[in-house]
Amino acid sequence: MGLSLPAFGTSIVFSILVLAAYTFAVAVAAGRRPHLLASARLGAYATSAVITCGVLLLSYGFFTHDFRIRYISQHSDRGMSPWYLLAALWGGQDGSLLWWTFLLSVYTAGVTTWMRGKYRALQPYVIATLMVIIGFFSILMMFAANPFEQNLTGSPGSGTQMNPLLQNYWMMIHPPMLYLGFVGCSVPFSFAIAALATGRLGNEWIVAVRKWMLTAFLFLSIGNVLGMIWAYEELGWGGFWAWDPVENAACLPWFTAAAYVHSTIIQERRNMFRIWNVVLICITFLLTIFGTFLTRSGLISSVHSFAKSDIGPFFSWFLVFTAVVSCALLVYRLPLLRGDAQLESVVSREGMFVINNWALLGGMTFILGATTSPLLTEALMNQEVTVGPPFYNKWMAPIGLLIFALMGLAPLFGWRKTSASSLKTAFAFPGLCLITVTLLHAIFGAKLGYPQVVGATTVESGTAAHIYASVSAFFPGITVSLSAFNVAVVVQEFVRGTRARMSSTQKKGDAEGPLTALVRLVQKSRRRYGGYIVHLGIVGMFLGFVGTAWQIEEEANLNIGDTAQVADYTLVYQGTRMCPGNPRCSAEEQSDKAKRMLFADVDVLQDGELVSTLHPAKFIYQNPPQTTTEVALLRGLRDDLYVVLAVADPETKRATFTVHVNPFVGWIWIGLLVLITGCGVSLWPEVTTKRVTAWTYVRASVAATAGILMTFTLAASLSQPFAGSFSAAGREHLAGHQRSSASVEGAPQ
Amino acid sequence: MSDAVAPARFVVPGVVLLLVAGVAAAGFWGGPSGVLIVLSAAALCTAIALMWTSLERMGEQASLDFEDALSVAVPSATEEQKLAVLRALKDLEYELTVGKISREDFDVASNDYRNQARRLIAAQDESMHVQLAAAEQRVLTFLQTSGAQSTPAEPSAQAASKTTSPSLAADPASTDAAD
Repeated sequence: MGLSLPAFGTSIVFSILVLAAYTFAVAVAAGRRPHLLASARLGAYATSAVITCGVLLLSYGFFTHDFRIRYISQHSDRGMSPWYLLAALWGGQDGSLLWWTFLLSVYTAGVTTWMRGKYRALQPYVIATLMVIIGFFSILMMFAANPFEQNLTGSPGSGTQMNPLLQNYWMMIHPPMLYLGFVGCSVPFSFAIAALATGRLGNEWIVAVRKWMLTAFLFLSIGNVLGMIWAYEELGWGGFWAWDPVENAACLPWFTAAAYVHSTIIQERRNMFRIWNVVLICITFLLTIFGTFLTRSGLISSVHSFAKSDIGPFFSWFLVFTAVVSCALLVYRLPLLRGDAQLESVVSREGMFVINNWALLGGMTFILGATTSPLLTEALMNQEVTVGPPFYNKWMAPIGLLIFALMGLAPLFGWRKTSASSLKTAFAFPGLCLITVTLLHAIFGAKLGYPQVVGATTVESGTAAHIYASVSAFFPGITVSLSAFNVAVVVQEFVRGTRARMSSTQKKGDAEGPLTALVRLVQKSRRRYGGYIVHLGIVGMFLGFVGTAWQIEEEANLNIGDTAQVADYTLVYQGTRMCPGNPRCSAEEQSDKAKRMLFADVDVLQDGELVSTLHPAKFIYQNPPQTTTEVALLRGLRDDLYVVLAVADPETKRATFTVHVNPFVGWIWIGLLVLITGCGVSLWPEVTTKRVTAWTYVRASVAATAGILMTFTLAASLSQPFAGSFSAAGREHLAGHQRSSASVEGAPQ
Repeated sequence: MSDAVAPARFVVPGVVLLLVAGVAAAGFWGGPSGVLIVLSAAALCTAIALMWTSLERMGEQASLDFEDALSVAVPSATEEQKLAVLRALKDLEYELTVGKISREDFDVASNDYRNQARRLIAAQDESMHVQLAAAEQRVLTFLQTSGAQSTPAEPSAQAASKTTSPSLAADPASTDAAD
């Protein structure tokens, strides 16, 4: 009898551990016997290749509907589209662990190739650390979550579809992006461990890690924002971030990664903060493991979390092991890590970075504490405590504003110390912008529906609570003013830099025009100016966040032909239709056999003119039996009209809608696009002249094509929500698009 | 180019072309599942081939080339400090040109950095002399023991010390010289 796919897949999982263990042993030996390094590198590639084989085999199982494999039968059925079959690979616990390992293997192969001819002393330990992480995940798959495990009762005739909530376009790209961010933190951690193990704790490893951490930061940002988009479109509560424990776990490493990206500059420039940087990298990695543990152990209940499983203890042990090894190495190498340089003045760039680091770390610590406190309270005191969004919003708003303010302040300071006269010059333009926008907001804000002060109430008693509530009423206005300040700072930095370059080139007799000078300025200092562009992206996101302060939510109970007025939108209810079956259903809706869809058609008018027809819906799935609420959205740069069908009576056709007008949400997605651009500028590689062969051209063109395709796909998918924002015709197109996107069986948008 | 290397150059592109053809054929006849199984088989074969090569390479006693030897060398603390100071000077000049710091602040900080740089370069030169003497001594000892030179001769020893051999640079004892 031949080897079955489940048995073969399981043997592949076993061989991952064997190869990782072999490579680890050879890599550690290569630390003392350099001639073994080539073997270790090949072992790392072999491990990556065998993991790739495992992922491809599981995908093959999905595409051939091999329901002998339990994971496949639990997360797919014959009716699912190829794209969702692919997404099912990471849609469940076991498969997502294999996917995690696969992405780590991609990073491993990438970093091994990148290190060729460089960092010879660090290489063995970098590879060994990566192999330990891969080994851990393979153990996890072998003993607790084998994606190839066979169904004990034999192969069922059909499988169970993936959770309908996960059958969404954004779920195709959100988890891989977030995982790329999480897994990406393993590379800086491996370098940190290698530096600690070898005692080479100078700037060498810091320079090596720089771009890898920025890559992880980029993917963490993309993953988190895509998660927001998914929650906004799919969960139907009108918001994008609910401080859910899994959402919190995903954003924790973002804070420390952001802190590291700034503090590493101080080590490079001033040879300070060596211990701090190692600690930040270790914490970031530990937080990625903790986040994965929180999502998968079943400890917390969340719409994002996986079912309760046995993998919790494995993660706990690994977390403890990693923390102990990191701490032990850190303590052992403490004498080498201590630097001579001191912080001379708080009124300096490094001073601002220190405060910024503490603010970011404070934010992370608060979220971590608030997320874990219900678990700890239940475990230690047997009391159930719930920490809800109001608690997080109350404390994170001032922390967020502090970080936002520091983001604008830091670039205005020089290194070491800044004199009062320099500060006066630096603050003049941004300060003027801040005052102007504050005044304009005070005068026109309320008239436009965005008042500067939003009355905040508190259920807590006590003077302090009331004082805080009064202060927090000013947060929306402060956010808008700080946004203007931040934009002004970035504009000033670009203008100053361009002017300085124009002046210096003129002195050299090779005068450059403003545009040439700007482009060359960015080319010369990509990290600095890429960072400023990232700051602009963050400003966009903050504008989106502050929009929630002016959110309007209304409920409308309508008969056919009734109208409802929400802000400046007039909604006219046109009736419901059940698809398939109703003659008004599209061909695509008629052909959908996986579910029944109840659409409510609502015309949207502005100033008496029809701008769109929205189709909020309820989908009733048979397998698994589940009803989902499908949101209808009319997007715009100023605000989004967000309509949810709450209830509809099939007899009388009377329907109840929840209507939200969400100001500036679109700026979060625009902010992400700007952030991606900024990170792209910072990450863009140095161009060097080198003798190349024809094969190098082939490799370079394949890499360039893949990069361009990925960029276009990402940019197109992220800008897709704005496809119809600028014209009525566009809005009509968008409405149609929303309608088709509501179909789970339809092709991805 | 040696005869053994010439065919090897075409192996990787050949295998890649074969794989692309296999994937295209599997996609044509077998659809997405055909493509996946061919890719999966290719990944497994690659893993086996890499593992085999890794085991083969374990027995080899490859010597380090000059670039590798340099990358093994630990940059000295002085070197790191010197680089940080030079970078700081560059930043300071940039900040003066964009008007972020005043001329007075620049002069004070710049003088301070320049003094630091001078001190570090001097310290580095001093340490270099010691390392250079040690390297010369090692070359002499090596030449004597290998029989290449029966008696110590100053000029040849100096010449040898200038053309640092890879094995010397790889020696942790000579790391500062390699810097």
